[in-house]
Amino acid sequence: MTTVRAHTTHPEQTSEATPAKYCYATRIVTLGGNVTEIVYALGMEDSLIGTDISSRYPDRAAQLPSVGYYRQLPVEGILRLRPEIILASEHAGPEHVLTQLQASGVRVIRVSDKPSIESLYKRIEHLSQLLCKVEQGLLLQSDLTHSLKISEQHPVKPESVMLLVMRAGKLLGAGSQTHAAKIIELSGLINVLADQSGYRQISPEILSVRQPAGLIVTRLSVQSMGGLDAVLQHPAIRLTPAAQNARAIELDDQLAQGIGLRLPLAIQAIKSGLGTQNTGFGAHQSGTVNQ
Amino acid sequence: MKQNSAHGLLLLLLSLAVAGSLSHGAYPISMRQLYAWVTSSPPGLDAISHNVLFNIRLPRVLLGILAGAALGVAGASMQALFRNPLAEPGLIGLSAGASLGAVAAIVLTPGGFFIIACAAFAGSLMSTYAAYLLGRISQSISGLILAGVALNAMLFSLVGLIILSADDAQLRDLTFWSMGSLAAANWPMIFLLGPLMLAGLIYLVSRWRVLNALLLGEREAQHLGFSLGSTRRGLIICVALTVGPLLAVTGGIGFVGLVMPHIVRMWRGADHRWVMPASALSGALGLTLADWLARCIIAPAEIPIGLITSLIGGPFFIWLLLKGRTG
Amino acid sequence: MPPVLTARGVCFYRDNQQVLSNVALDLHPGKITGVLGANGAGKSTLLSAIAGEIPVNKGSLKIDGQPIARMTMQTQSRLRAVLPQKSPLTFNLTVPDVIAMGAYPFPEVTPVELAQWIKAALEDCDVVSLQNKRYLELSGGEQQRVQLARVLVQIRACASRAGHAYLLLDEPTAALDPKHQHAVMQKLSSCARKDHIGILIIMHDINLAAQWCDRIALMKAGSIVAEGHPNDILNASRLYETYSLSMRVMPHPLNQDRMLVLTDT
Repeated sequence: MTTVRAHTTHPEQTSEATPAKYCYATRIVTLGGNVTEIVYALGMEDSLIGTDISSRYPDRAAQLPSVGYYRQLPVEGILRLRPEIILASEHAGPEHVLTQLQASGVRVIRVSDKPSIESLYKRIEHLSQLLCKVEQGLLLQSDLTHSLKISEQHPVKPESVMLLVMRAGKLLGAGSQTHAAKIIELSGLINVLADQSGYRQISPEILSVRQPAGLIVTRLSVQSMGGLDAVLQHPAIRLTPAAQNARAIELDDQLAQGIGLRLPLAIQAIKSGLGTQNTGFGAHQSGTVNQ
Repeated sequence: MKQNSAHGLLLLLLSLAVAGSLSHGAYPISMRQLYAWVTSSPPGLDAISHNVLFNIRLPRVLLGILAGAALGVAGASMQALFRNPLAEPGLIGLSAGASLGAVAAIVLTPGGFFIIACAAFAGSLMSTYAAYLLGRISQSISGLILAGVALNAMLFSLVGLIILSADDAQLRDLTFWSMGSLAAANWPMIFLLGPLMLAGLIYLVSRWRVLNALLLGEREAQHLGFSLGSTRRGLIICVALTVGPLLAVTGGIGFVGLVMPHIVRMWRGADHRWVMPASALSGALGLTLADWLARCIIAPAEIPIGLITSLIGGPFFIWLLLKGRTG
Repeated sequence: MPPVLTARGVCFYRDNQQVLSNVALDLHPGKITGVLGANGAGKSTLLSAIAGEIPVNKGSLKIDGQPIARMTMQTQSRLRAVLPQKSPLTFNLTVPDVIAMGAYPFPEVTPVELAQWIKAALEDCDVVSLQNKRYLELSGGEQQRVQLARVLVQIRACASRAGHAYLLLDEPTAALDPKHQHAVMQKLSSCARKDHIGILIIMHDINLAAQWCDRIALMKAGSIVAEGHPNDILNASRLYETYSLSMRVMPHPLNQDRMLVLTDT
C-alpha cells in the first residue's frame, strides 16, 4: 500500500516513526552517485527517468537524461522530466531548488551521504524501505557485510598513502572527512593528508615532506597525464617512496571518491595494489586495477 | 526618433522579451496552453505548469527586470558622477565587498542562501562606506576612484586568502556564486526587494538634472546650484542600497551597468533625461534576454547569467573600441 | 538700497601664502567691471571666492546684502552665474542640452519661458546655426559661445525672478576670433543694461577692457591697486606697476570716448 505523506514545503528527512513509501513510483530521479547505484542494485532501474551528471555507475546510468551538477540543480530541468519522487543525496542543492520542487508537488527525499560505513548501511535501508524493496535491501547489506569481512582478512602494514587527483597541472589531495580518506582507513592504511580537511590543492613539496609509501591516483587523472608511468615521473612525485618502489595504483573515480556498494572492491584494490602483508611476504607489484 | 517613442520602443521590446522568456524554459509549456490561460478558456494550465509559470518563471523574470534596470541606472549614475564612461557600480567597491562577504560565508560558515545573501549585502555596504570615507580624504572625485580601485584590489586579495582554505565543494559553490544566477528568485524576495529597488530607481532617475550638470565638471555643477558633497553622498548611498541587495541575491552580474548606458548614449546622446529611463529599460531588456538564453541554450542545465553578460559584454567592448578608431 | 554685490576686506590664504589681500569691490547691475592683472595676481581666486567656491579667511562677500558664506549653493545659483575658462565636457550632449542647463537652478520654469530664453541666447551668441549639432563636434570657440549661451539663460532666469543678476566670467573671449570677441563684449554690454546684470570679467586683453568696461580693477599680488573708470585709471605708470611692462596710453583714434593701450617693447 502506498502511504502518501501530507504535503510539506521542506524536503523530507528520515523519520523512524512512519516512513513514507513509494512502492509504485514509476518516475524516479536520483541525485548523487551513491544514491543512484543503490537504486540500480535494488532493481528499480525501470523506474529511473533521470539522474545527475556525477552518477556514472553502473555505466548505463550515464545514458539517462542528466539534470546537471547535483549541487547546482536547475529546477525546470528537473521538472520537465516529470518525476514523482526525487531521491537526493544530502549534499544536493541549492536548497531553494529543492524547496521549489517540493512546492511543485514532487516528493523530495534526502538520503544520508556521509563518508562512513554507517551512512552506507543507513542509505541502503532508507532507500529499500522507501521503494518497498526491504528484502533486497537486507540482501545488499548482508552481501556488503560479507565482502567487508573478506576484505578485512590479510591485514596490511599501516603505512602512509595518499590519494591524488591531478587537474590541469594542479595537485589535489584527499584530506580527512572525505570518502577517500575513509576507504584508506578501512584498508588499514594511514592517510598522510589526514590533518587537512576535504579536497584541497596541495603544494608539490608536501609529497617530499610526507613521503607517502603508496599512491592512489584517480583514473581520469591518470588518463589526463598519459598513463601511470607518466604520473610517477612527475617531478613532485618522482622521489617519493611510492614512486621509487612502484607502489601506485590507478583507481576508478567513483570508486575512489564514494563510500558505496563497491567499497569492498575499492578496499581490495588498494590493499592488493599498495599494501604490504603484515606477514611480510613482500610488496606486490603496482599495476592498474580496473573495475 | 523622438525621445518618447524611443522609450516606447524599448518598453515594447522589453514586453516582448518578457513574454518570450516566460513562455520558454526547460519545462515545456506550449503556446496553446499559454493562450488558453491568457484567454481564460479551458483547459487552462495544469497544476505543474501553473506552478512553473507563476512561482518559478514569473518571479525570476521580475527579478531580472528589477536587476537589469537597477544595474543600468546605477551604471549611468556612476559614469556621470565620475565623468568616466568606464565607471560602473563595482568601482566604489560594491562587487568586491559582496564577493568578500559571500566567499566568507561559503567557506567559513555552514552557508545556506540566506546567510550568504546577508553576508554579501553587509560586505558590499561596508566596502562602499570604506571607499566613500577614503575618497573623502581627497576632495576631488578622482580621490574616490583611487579609493575604489585600491579597495577593490585589497578586497579581492582577501577573497583569495579565504579561498585558499576552501575545500573542493566550497570552491565550486563560490565559483557559481561569482558567476551569478537569477535562479533563487521567489515571491517573498520580490515583495521584499521590489519596493526597495523601485524606490532607488525612481530616486536615481529623478536626478537627471544633477547628473547632466556633473558632466560639465564639478565646478559647473556647483555653479548651477548643486551641492557636491550631498549629491555624491546621495548617489552613492542610493546605488549601494539598490545594487547591494541585488548582488546579494544574484551573485556577480557584470557588464550590464557598464554597457547599457553606453549603448543608450550612442543611440540618442548623453542627456540624462533620456539616458536614465533608457538605461533602466535597456538594462531590464538585456538581462531578461540574457536569462532567457541562460535557461534555454543548454537546457536542462542552466548557464550562470554573469557568464552570458560577460560573453556578450566583452566582445561588445572590443567592437566599441574598433568603432571608435574608425569613427 | 540698490542691489549690489560687495566685497570688503577679503583675504585668502593658500599653502601659507596670501593670495588675496584686503580686496574691496562693488558690482552694480547694469555695469561691466573688468579685472586685469598679471598671471598669479589672484584674479581667478577672487572669482572663485565671489562664486562661493572657496571660503575666505577674512572679510565679507555679500550679494544684495546677504553674506555668501551663509547661502546654499542653490540660493547662490539663483542670483548669479559663472562661466569659467574651460569646461571639461567630454560626453555626447547636444548644443540645446548644454544651453538648457542654465535653467537648472529654476526647476519651476515653464517650457515656454525656457524656450524663449534658449532662443534668445542662441541668437545673442551667434550659435543658431549650431543648434542641431553635438557639443563635441564644435570648435573651441564655438564651444565657448555655447557655454556663454548657457550662462545667459541662467542670468536671464535669475533676472526674471529677482529683477537683476550677477555674471562672473573668466576670460570669456580667450578662444574667440576678433569678430566674435567684440560681438560677445557688445552683447554682454547690452545685456548688462537691458537685463540689469552686474558683470565681472577677468580679462587679459587690455584694449578690449578699455573699450567695453564701465569700470576696471587692476590687481597685483592679491590686492586691487586701482579701481575706476578705464579712462581714469589707465595710465602708463599704473600699467607698468601691474604688468611690469612699459605701455603707452592714448585716446582711441576711432572711439573718442575711450583709450588705446600700446605696448612699448
